[in-house]
Amino acid sequence: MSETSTGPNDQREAELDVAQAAVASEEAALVARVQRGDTAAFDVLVRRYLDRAYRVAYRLLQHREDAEDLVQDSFLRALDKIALCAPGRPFGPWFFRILVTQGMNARRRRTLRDMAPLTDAEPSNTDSPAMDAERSDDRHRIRSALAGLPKQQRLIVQLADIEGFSSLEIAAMLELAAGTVRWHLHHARAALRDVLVPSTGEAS
Amino acid sequence: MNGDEEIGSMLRAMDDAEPGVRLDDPRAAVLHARIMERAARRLAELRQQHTWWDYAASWSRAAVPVGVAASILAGALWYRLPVQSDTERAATTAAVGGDAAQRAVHVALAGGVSTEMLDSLVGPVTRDALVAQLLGGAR
Repeated sequence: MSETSTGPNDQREAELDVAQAAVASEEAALVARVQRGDTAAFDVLVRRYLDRAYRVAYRLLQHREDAEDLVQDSFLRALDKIALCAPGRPFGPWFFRILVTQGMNARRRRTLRDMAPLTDAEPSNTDSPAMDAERSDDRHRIRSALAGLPKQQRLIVQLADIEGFSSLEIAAMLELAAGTVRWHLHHARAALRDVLVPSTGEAS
Repeated sequence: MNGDEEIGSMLRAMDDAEPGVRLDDPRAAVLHARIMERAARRLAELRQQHTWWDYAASWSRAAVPVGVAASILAGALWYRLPVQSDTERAATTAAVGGDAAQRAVHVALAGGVSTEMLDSLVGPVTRDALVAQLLGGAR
């Protein structure tokens, strides 16, 4: 996150800005082509955002099939509204705003199966059972701490710290002020730190 | 590593281990195909709209010169019309009052109406007979 960056990182950030501007410009061209009904351009955008869109959708709905349906509906809705995507505007933030709005609506409409149905992951390597147990215990603690946050704070911290969205992007998606997002992020991290950092400190 | 970064890395580590959060390749391929299949109709509509719009836009580019040309032509016609309408008005006035046919012929013979016009109305063969008959009747 840029909040923690200092002088030596400025050049890297400037390079990142240039790269982002290039992507935004390329996406604006793709959007213009999609507005003319270009299938190949739409295909590029779908491929580019499919994975990330699914992850955000999964965080909202906590269910694979529902998340896939949400991603599909969001791409189709974006296509329906593509004329409203202003010229020169990058597709990503505009699309994620549609996705998150749809996801929030879906979440309100449905009686969710369970907001925390997360089963422990299968053991992913050949570590000793003791290490696996320790990792599993850590995961359980993180998951519990995350589940203890208010819904919106949980989503904000997931979007920021796991998916790497900026405060501004999250603010646009959730229709909040950027300052409000930063406030939620600060409180969510503080709450997680209270729960997690002392215990991991003891563990290590 | 500061506290925020540590929290972030712990969250990411937890996330990596979570089975549902990643879209594996087969599921991604199916989802991608589903989206593209359902988008096909809308994309076709957009192409259609765009074709219509292109057509309209190309005509709009031609509309200005065509409009100017049409205005010039209309002005020229308007300028010529009064010359013809004086003669026609004389013929019409004659036809309305009294012996319409005789007055029309008088007007015609006075040079107001061309022989070509009479030819086109009654035909070249019958014109002379018609004129003789009308003048005879008048006398």
